[in-house]
Amino acid sequence: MTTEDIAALEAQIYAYVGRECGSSTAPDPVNKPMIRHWCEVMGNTNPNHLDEAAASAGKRAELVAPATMLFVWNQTGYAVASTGRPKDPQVELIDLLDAHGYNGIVATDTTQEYFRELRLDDVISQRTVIDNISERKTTGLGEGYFYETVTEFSDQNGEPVGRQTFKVLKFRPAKKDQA
Amino acid sequence: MTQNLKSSDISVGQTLPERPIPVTSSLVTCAALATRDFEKVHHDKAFAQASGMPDVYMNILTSQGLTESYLRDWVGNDAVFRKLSVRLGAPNIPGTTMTMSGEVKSVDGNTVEVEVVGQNDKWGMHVKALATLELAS
Repeated sequence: MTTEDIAALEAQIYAYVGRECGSSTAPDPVNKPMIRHWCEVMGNTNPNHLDEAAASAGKRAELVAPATMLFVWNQTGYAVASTGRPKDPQVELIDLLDAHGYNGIVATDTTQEYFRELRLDDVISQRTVIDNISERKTTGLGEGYFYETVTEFSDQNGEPVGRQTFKVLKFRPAKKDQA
Repeated sequence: MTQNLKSSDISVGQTLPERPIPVTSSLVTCAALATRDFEKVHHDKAFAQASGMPDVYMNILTSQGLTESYLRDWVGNDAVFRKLSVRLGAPNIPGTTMTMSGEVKSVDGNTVEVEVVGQNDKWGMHVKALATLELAS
């Protein structure tokens, strides 16, 4: 790519900073079956997640969801596999970078903050924005751009319950065979 | 039942017992579905291979969930997770083993920070996490 091409591409990608993508309200409230199915696979045996009577008698006095299920409640579901993710600004950004040879993708960092534990019947909404996009970087995988999304989670009363940042590297795979 | 640790039980530099986790196709795919992650790279081997990977690979929500379970078994049932920062490294591919280890990084009143590393025996560091836990008082 020429310097002019790169400048043109960067003008396009930086326009995505601040764009909202993936705003939704969970189709199911926080519930025991989804918690149990998750705990089975993760090997989590905490009765505060699994046994309503024990949880009610315990320190919390109620059953709560595991913390790292925060992002599970609003997942898109089987459509991701059957028909593909619906277009949103993040998908457009990825497509744009793909089209310019930055077709590698890897998640690098994510942080979740939990403002309170989620309880049964909470209905979780989330709103994600593209928070920032780095300058062009040289990495071990190749040249590329890091972009970071911020997702804010709230309950049925609009009260914040958690926050997530998620950083992704979109890169032009280094041609190792020509090195 | 796991005993709930108190701040007096915990000191900086203390290590957690290691936990080897066999990474199988079943774990990768069933955990992806339990986290409602239907990306094909986690359940469709041919699709994963077409994307340049040797096989299906573990999704991030599972790495976070296994980290939570590992910490939960150490700290006890009543502590509350406040924050989990995760740095991602090598993929977890079936036929390998990820060994989780942990070390206490800080203790401030009832707030404890623990670093957890998930080391894949074939591919190297899969995940390096820093968890902030609030102990039951």
